Amino acid sequence: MKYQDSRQFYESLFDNIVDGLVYCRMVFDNQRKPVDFICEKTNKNFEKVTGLKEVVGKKITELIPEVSTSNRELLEICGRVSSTGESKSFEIYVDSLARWFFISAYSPQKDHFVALFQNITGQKQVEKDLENANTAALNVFEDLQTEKETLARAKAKDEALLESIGEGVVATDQDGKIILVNWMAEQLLGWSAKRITGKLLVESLTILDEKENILPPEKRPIVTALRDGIVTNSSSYFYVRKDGKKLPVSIAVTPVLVDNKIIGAIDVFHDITKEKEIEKLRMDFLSLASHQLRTPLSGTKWLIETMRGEILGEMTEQQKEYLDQIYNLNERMIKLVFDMLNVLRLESGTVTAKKENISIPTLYDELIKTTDAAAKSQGVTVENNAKDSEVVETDIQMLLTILDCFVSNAISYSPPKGKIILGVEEKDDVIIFSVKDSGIGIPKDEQVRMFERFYRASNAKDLRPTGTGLGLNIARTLAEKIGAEISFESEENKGSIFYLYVPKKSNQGKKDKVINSKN
Amino acid sequence: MNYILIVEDEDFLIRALKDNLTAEGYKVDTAKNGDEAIEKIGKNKPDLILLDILMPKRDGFYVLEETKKNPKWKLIPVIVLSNLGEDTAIKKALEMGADDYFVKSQHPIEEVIERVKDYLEGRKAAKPRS
Repeated sequence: MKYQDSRQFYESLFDNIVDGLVYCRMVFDNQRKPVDFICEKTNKNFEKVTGLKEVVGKKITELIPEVSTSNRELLEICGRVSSTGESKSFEIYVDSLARWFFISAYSPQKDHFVALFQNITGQKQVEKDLENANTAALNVFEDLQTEKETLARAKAKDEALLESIGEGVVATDQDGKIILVNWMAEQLLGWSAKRITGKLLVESLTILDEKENILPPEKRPIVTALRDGIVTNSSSYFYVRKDGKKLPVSIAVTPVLVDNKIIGAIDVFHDITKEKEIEKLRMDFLSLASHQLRTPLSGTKWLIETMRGEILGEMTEQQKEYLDQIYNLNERMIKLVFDMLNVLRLESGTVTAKKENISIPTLYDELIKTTDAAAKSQGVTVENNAKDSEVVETDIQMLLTILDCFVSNAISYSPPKGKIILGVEEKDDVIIFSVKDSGIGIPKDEQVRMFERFYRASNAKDLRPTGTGLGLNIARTLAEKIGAEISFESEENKGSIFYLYVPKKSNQGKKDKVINSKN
Repeated sequence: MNYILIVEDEDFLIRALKDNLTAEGYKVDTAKNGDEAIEKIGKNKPDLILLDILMPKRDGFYVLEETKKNPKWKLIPVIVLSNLGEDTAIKKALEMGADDYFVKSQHPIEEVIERVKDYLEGRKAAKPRS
């Protein structure tokens, strides 16, 4: 190859390589420290690669004025290459150009060097991105780790809590398979968690109803919770322990909901053997106390009645009056004992409302019959205003007791020849019973206290000192039992109307169907 | 003369019942517990029994059981006079064959005497146990 040809060959070669190429002369100071270099030749791509313009003949300190401070190593490396003739490759970031370069420098002759520039900014960016991504990933990982630890701690805490609480806890998944049995549940049921976890709850544990009959699977609280989302709170079930013993329990079974979907159920229960025993003792005591209190009272009653019948001889009018007073006092005592025991019994919760059908006119006839004697002695009439033969479904005895309280009060506080009107009205879902009188009424400022136990309005007390102050209190408790409500309107010296609102489709005693319950 | 057996452990109640029934012209005997009652029924079959429930030794339920299961005695009317006012006690006595049940403190003695007359004068008859 001729020289000319060879020169052209190399020039075209230089111009066509993608790297930027520059040929420079190094400038040193007196102590031979590299202070600058002058670009003597470049290829076409140099300007493109570096972003520098019209570089030939210019000093690097002109092209990049701050080079001696920002990229001191560029001068030093190039100086060393030019002085020693050793080649060197390095990476450098030039701030004013905002570019990363990979530079390969070598020295073709003393104090001169050739540098090949590659713009590696993109690659560096990728590297940086990667590094960032890596850091981010590390951060996420760390966060996850922390979260995991927090969760583990929370789980450990929950588990410790579940283990140590005094209530038995059994949880199932949505298929009714047992996923958790805590320590107390193991103790109460006699089963180890290992033996029953993973099995179907309905097959592993037997539950009895209040009559101690086995509860069929479809009626079991856990099944109704999983199937219908029903929450059950009950104290009338028994669990059968592993050893076959019956354990009276109070249970709360709740569906577990996530995004309104049932994903399982939890049964929390505790042993109520002691409560049952105490309740039985209480009832036995009540029954005995009532018997023991009534016996002398009934004896007094019958002895006075016998004496008043004058089997034993005639009495003076004054003696009769005295005897009547003793008799009335005894009757008051009998009524008080009767009412008080009623209150205690109602509050013990052992009295539950039955469901029976009765036609309202029949009910009112019965009511008029039982209050007839009192009405006659007071000289008042009770009128049945119920026309239609509407039937009400409720506990007849409780309903009668409530209405009897209304009517007895109306009779007691009516003037002679007063009229009491029994009414009935249907409205939407309720039947409204009403008892209207033209009696002494209830003073306005005492009306709020009418349902208080033992409270008697001042005018009622003056007129009839013998009342017990328990009638309306009992009536209200009974009304609650049959799902009914009581209200009244009254004006002093004009009369009162008492209302009883009985729901047509009585749903008392039924568990409400609740989703997302907080019970 | 109709003969009535009063089974009752409280003297004052016996007295009130006895005085009223004697005044009505009935012959009266008394037993103060279940065992004594069965013994007296065996010796001299009464036309009617007035029966308390809570008594020392055997109680009224025992007397009721023994009377109503015995073919010779089952048609004797038995009126339970008790101060056990719970529905369960009343239901139990009626199921065991008691013909009537009075909670003593809730009824005047005249009502009891009237009911005795209903049975003994043929207006009412003892029902065989179902």
